[in-house]
Amino acid sequence: MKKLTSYFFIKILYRIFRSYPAIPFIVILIIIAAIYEPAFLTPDNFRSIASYISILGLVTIGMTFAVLLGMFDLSVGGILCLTATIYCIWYMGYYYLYLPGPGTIMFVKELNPVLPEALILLGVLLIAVALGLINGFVIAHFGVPSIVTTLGVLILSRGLAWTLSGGNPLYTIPDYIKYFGQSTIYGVPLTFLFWIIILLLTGIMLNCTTIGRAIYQVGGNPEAAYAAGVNITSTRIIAMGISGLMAGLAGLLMVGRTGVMHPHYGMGIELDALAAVVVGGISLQGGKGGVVNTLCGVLFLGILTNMMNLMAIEAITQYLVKGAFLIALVLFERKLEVRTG
Amino acid sequence: MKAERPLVELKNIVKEFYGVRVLDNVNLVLWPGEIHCLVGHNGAGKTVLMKILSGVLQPEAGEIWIYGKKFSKITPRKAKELGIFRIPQDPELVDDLTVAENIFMGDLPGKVLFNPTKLYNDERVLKIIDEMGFKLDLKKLIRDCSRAEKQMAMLIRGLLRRPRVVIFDETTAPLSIREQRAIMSLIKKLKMQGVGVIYISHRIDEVFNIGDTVTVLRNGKVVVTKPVKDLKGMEELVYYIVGEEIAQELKFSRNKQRIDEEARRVLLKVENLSGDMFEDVSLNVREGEIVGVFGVVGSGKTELAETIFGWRKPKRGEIYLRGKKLKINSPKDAIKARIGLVPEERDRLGVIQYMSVSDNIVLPSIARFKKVLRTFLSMKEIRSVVRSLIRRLKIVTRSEMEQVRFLSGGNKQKVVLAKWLASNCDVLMLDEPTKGIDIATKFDVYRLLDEIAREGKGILVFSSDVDEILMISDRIYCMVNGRIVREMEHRDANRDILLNIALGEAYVKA
Repeated sequence: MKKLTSYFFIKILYRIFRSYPAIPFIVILIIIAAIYEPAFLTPDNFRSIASYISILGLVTIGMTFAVLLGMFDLSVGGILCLTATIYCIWYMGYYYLYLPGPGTIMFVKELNPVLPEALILLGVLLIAVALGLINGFVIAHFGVPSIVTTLGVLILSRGLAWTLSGGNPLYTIPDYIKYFGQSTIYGVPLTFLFWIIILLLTGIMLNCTTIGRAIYQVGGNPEAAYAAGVNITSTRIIAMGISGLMAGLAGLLMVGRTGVMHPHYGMGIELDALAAVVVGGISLQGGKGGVVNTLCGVLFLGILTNMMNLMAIEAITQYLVKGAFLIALVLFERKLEVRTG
Repeated sequence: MKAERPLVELKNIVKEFYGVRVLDNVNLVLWPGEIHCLVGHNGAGKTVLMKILSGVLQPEAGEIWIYGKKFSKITPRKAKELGIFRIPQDPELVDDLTVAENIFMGDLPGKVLFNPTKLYNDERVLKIIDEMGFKLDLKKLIRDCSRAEKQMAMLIRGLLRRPRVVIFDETTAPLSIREQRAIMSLIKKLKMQGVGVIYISHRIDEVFNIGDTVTVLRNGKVVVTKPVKDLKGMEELVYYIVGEEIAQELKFSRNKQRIDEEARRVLLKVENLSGDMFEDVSLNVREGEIVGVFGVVGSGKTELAETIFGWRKPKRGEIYLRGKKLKINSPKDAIKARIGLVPEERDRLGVIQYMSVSDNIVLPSIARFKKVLRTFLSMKEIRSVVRSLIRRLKIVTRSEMEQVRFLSGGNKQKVVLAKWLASNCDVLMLDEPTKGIDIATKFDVYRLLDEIAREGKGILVFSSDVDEILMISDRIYCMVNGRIVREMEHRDANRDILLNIALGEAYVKA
């Protein structure tokens, strides 16, 4: 009798690991961190992990949509930066016009009239969505590979952001966004709660709406979905729009959390998000995985980074460790897949 | 008895791919309650025509009339609304979703919000499954489904939508005989309901079994449209399919001498080999002999062939070539030992679609052509070898540099054969060598196999086609459920014996 139950338990465990292969790694990481770093298991540290995670997490949710459709979205970092920049500029009421070349000229231009705050918020998010939709339109309608399209939008939007901010950090940040980015409820960062809510909504959308299922259908086999009458073009465009929206939200949170707009925000975040998606166990071929995988991937990267910071490992060495972990994890996942498939 | 208005009328349909005309002024009329068979060899344009009718492809010119309304083009969505449903040759399904979700794809219950529980308890689906007498687990992932189960899922998807026109594109090819019968009775039921059925098949006997009308396509043109009862027998239909000239050549007989066991050396010997899907298989192939392994789909033939070729790992057992024990861990080892395999899945495993005919042919034997300084390839030599093979095998291609994906199925198969001829292998294994190949090419392949065997090479043919096995093999092994149950000389075998062995035991097991 006892034997049977333990067998059943192992079976369930195996099934969980097969779907979410990052879980054992997360557990191992937590154990190691707890043993070697007493500061790890403190509420303060959890808060710091939570607020770090939420920004990367938002971008990763967007990336999840793209990857489920078998696409990449490299433009998230650029969209993040541009959204944050325009947000600050609209709030300040003036922007820079930066003309590079011999004898660089920088104009400061007034914005007239200054928009109301709610409109600013709405406007910047619309810009983020629009950039995502442009991505989606070029990919789905003209058949340009997503990696090329989004790379273009990445460079373009970052260039635009730098032009508008003159490459300077912007310090005039509205108070409400700072409050949102920095305060806590019962000790839990607001940003983290916000991320969890978005994650839940994403889960509901992917599993319980027709557009969510269409994403899996198109991602799994676009020809089959097309022949079954699914609109693959609009599915792709919508998914990229959502990815843009997530990047925009992440930009606002970033500004709120740090209280400053730095033009280097979002540098390389697309690769971190992609790493999180892969680590979480979402297939790059598309059509396989879900928000729990996203959660696992983000948690893993978040805890790993936090642990290395606590251990005072240098930034350069952190890259090494991260890379090694990434490869090890993906190999482990492959092993699981081969055994079962 | 005919209704006044046809369901579908295709008028002067023209379709071109890369400047090559694949459909040339094709006309087709489908009446309610009619079973219209569409036959013709590979590349004749049957599937393309049906893809146009179901909206997946758009024609260059021509009119599509459906229920008396004219459409210049239709999309898959439009076709769905019109009740036109196509069951394609290779099921178009999403691997990582469940059977039920695939059934409802493009038509999920609920407008925006969708309720997963509804998917698995849909009465209409359960009723269809029940009526057809199949076992189908709706919660299973398509990835884990067999070919037949996938085909079932496609079929249910179509039936759910109350179709008025159903197109079967070689649906029965991968199914077992029992499942084929179920589909036949289903088609008859659809006919009773006034649904128009277009039935594409390579098998001529099926046309006579169920067809009302038959349309023959050859090279993108309609050769004839005729009621089946007006046909004067199979010969007439074959004549239409292959054309006058070739009909004369469709004779093949191999002089099957009784192999003198002492005189000819054993080339390939497999002893107690076990692997995925097969157990304890022993067989041998002598020089100059064509050995057939007969068994139904799923009897383990393909797995056996792939294991001998090193594609899969054996669990136990030994393989000998000319009495020497072989250690085969990968196809590379098999090729080194001069064993070749013509795989069943030609498009995926047999050829590299985006490479030229020439590159495909010299692929396994490329080392042979390292002539210049023993490092660089001699293009001249490659060209001459490839050209002579193209001539010998009668491969229809514009030049040896044409990409293989532009070739028809039969010509692709010849390229695969040429590949092993170029590498001069001693044992050639062929898995379903003529599946999906038109009749004329089929006989080309048989003649070629005969020729190769005469050169003293050993040939092992794995097939589920009784007539093929009987026509070409000198000795026959029968495989049932992964085991070889019987070995017989050609003269001891006939259709009934083979079918009894293969199907009888399969039925008992099921």
